Amino acid sequence: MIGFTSADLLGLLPALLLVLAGMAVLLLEVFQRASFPRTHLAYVTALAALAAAGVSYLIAPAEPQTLWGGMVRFDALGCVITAFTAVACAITALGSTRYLEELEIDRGEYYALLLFATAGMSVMVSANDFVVLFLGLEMAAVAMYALTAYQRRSNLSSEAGFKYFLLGALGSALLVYGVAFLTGLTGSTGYDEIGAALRAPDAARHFANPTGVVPFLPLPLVGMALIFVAFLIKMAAAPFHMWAPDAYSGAPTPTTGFLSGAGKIAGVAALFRLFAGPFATPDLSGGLAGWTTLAFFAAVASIVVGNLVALTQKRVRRMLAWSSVAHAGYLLLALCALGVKEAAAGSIRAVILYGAAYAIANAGAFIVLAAFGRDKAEADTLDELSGLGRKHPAMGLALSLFLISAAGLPPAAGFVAKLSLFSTAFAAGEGAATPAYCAEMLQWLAVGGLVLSVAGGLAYLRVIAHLYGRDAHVRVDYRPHPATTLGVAIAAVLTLWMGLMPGRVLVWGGNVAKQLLPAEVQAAPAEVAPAAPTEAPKAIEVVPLPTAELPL
Amino acid sequence: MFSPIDFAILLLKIGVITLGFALPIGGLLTLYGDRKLSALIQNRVGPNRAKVFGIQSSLLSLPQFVADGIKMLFKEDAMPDNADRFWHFIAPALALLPAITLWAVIPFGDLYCTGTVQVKDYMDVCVGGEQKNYFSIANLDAGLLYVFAISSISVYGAALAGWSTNSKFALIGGLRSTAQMISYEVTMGLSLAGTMLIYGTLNLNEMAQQQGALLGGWLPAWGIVYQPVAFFLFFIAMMAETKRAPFDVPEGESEIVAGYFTEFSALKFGAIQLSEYVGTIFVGALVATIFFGGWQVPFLYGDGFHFGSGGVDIAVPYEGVVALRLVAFIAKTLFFVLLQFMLRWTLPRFRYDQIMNLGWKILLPISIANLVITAIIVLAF
Amino acid sequence: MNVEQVLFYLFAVGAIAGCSGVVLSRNPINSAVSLVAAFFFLAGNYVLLHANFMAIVQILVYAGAIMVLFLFVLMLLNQRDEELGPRTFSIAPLLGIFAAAVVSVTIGAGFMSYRNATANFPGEVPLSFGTAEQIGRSLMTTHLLPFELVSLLLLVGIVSAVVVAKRRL
Repeated sequence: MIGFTSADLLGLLPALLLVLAGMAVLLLEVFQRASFPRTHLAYVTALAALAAAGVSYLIAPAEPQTLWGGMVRFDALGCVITAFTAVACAITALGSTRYLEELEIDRGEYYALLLFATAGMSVMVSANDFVVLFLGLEMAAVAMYALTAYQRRSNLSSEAGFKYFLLGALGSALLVYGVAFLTGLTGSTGYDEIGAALRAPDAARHFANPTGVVPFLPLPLVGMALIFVAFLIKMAAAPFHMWAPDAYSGAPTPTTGFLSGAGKIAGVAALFRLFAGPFATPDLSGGLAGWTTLAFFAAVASIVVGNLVALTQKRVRRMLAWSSVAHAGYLLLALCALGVKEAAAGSIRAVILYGAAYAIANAGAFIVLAAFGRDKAEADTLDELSGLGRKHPAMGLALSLFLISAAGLPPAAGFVAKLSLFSTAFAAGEGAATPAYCAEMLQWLAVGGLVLSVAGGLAYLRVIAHLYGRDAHVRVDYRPHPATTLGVAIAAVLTLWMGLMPGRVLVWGGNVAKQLLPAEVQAAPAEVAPAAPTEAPKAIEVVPLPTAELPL
Repeated sequence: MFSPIDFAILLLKIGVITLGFALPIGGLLTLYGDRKLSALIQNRVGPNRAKVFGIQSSLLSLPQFVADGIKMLFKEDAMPDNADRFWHFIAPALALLPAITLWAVIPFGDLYCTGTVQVKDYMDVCVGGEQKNYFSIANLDAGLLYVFAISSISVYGAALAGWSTNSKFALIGGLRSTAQMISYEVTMGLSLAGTMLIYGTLNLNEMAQQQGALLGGWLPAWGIVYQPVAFFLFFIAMMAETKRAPFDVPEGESEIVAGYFTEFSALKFGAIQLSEYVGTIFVGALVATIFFGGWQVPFLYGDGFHFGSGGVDIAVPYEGVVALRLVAFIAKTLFFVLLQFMLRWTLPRFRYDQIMNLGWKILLPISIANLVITAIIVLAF
Repeated sequence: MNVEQVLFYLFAVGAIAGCSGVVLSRNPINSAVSLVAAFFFLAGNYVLLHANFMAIVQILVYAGAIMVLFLFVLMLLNQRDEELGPRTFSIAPLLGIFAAAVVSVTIGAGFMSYRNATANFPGEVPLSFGTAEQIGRSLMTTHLLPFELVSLLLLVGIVSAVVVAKRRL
């Protein structure tokens, strides 16, 4: 008896491709002399990753399908995120060749782990069952721990890997603990079954306070909160971000871009699937579990901490690490907006665009950084980067482009992404969110986020100012390699393309929204018509569950 | 769900199997086997003088046997100054406990049929009565897994014994035994995975029942016929698990005094020694059960011997059959115990790296290959 | 209370005591062995739930393999009580206990609402429940994908471990 069909396999084809390529790389590595450079493996990896991206674009289904007996959801969200993480993987692989040789860690396992991590992300985004979600997440995470600690001779790298591993293990434990609550209550690990059970007419008993005296947490809420916190840890969002700066500055430079970029968008995509699916009320009013509240506070903390601390950093990689916390905050801002019916579709489009722009520009920025360095180290301080823009115009231009994108300025992709994100958040504030204070807060958050992103932008611009404004006074070697140039070119072209012609990505985002959100929500206009502020928000009575607020 | 009678029978079974079989034979081997059998095998004389009540005779060395036991009981129980008192006290028990607990699933005989027994396709079929489990303590469905589970925790005794005494010799011995046991556990499990595929069950009694079949009408379908490679792998792995020669580096006298039990004396020393010998007997019993038909006597079924004529050739009453099977099982077990003793007193000790290489680089790949080939054959037929 | 309840409370209290031992004992070896004890008590509760296979695998894998490796490493490090430094007072454990108490009370209150609930409890389970056959069958049919993913995860784990730990690649 065979438990699957060809359709099941087709749905996981990109992940399958990545895994097979990873195994092929491992096997190729076995028959390799130690002194032989592994450039060709980088090309194999990049080719496989780009092929996976292409395949996921080609096979993206018009209608969402459920495969593997309900374990996997094959839809636009999975395909789009897989495509972008795979492209980020390709860029990273291309940018690693010379760097690995320089640090004498040029071994094929590096590329295999990159591919496995990408495959894990793909599985995790496509998961429609907590078991699959956990396995995908762990596959990506374990590969990323090893990538972080890949510079075995460097204490810094080992420490980074260890910190990442400990915190990641904590996150995984919390995830499993949360899933245990939900599974215990509903008798299933499937998203669909859990969602149905939590929305069933008799589900109110989960939320009724039995004692009436002791403050209590409804158990579904405990489960959801634990799962949410687990994802916050994995995404390095505040207040669970403390591992990120150390891990990101200790990891081999090219992988940092991959970990922080691709890892985050895969995590946030999985969260979107959860919160638009099993954890959502039928009208997405955000009431169930009050998770908008949680996302809201995490977003505020991440944006504030990330941007402000990034300003104070002297080392570029640490600066980028801190600002990646801020980016996690922006992605969570979109998650808040998902809780508002009128803004749900917009928030999904925004998060796809933002995630894509961030993952690609981030991978690009780090491989440019990896191309400069001296004595088995990379150029990291602002001093070392001074004047490089003038000495190496192409690389300097590319780095500036990526940083501009991260700062959210035109013409790079980050500008459009931030624009759509903040407009969605603002629109969500107009909508009728429950708890009601969220609506107003979201608008303030959008405004505040905008202000803080200017602060964050200053941190990026300071780097650009050093690139062009000063003379080089520290000797820094440039390590050119055709593969690196190719990777930077891919990243730059994609960043510019998304910045100048974001239409295509927004269409993909629209598809994702259409397939992810329940039909009732899609009937609502995506953009909110401005309502008179005096008009009371219309009460939403569809909620079958008593709204629970977290005793924060 | 338990009637008092069932409970009494259970207690009786536990008593007889552990106190009446495993421990006495273990004790006998500990005290007597090491003196006299080793001498026999190595063509030495061994202890041969005793003067009891003025009678000067070797008396088969039995006086030494008794004196050994008395000595072990009354020796001072010494504990090193810096030992971890709690673990030093507990560790011998942790060593002995799994060794005894393992016996819970060994079937000494088939389920007892209270009705009439009919023979059909080389299987006993019980008609008009219940099948009573009189000959094993528990007839577990996952019996083989139980064996793996319990034998995997028997590491703790050795490890903690070595650690608790705060002696370098003991610590090294404990580390060696831990490394060795976890290495060979893998082979042990994988080598039996093939037999699980063949039998399609994890229940040890059902395995024994299936081995009553005859291949081609004359060859008893014992496990060794189907899985000869697995037998050798399993036997070697189990020898290593019991930590006796040639796998006795954890207690190599010439290097680390007595390994992990260097600092144990009196009954604690006795308990650790006993646990190893009880383990040795258990290996014999398990090998007999899985690879040599268990309680099966070739050609003997519930109503008598069948020599292929299609009917009963020599009729034997059911009680007689049960007794014969019991005897057969014990004889097979003792045979494999003796075989282990002969190996251990014949072969020299392996070096530590040789043990690791043998475990990971030779036995493990062979057992994986054996499993894969078995799986393919089972799938094909 | 019937026998099952008595056993349940026995195992539950044992498991909690074991887990407390893990956290509270200063000696890492004691912590590790406490964890093993906790695994045994948990396995006992699995048996009460008719999950015999799970119980045995719990002991086989956790107590017999993983914790043995832990113990092995702890013995290699061989950290004695004296080396852990003097016992110092710190506010952190107190805060931790306070937080744990708050969480326990709130979650425990949540559990109270299911005291008399029967809707989700299947009651009698089929005889085949929890056997190796049934688990094997579900691994090969309904849970085929997770089963295969686990094998991949193990591969990634092995490669990662070698990459991180090996002196020279």
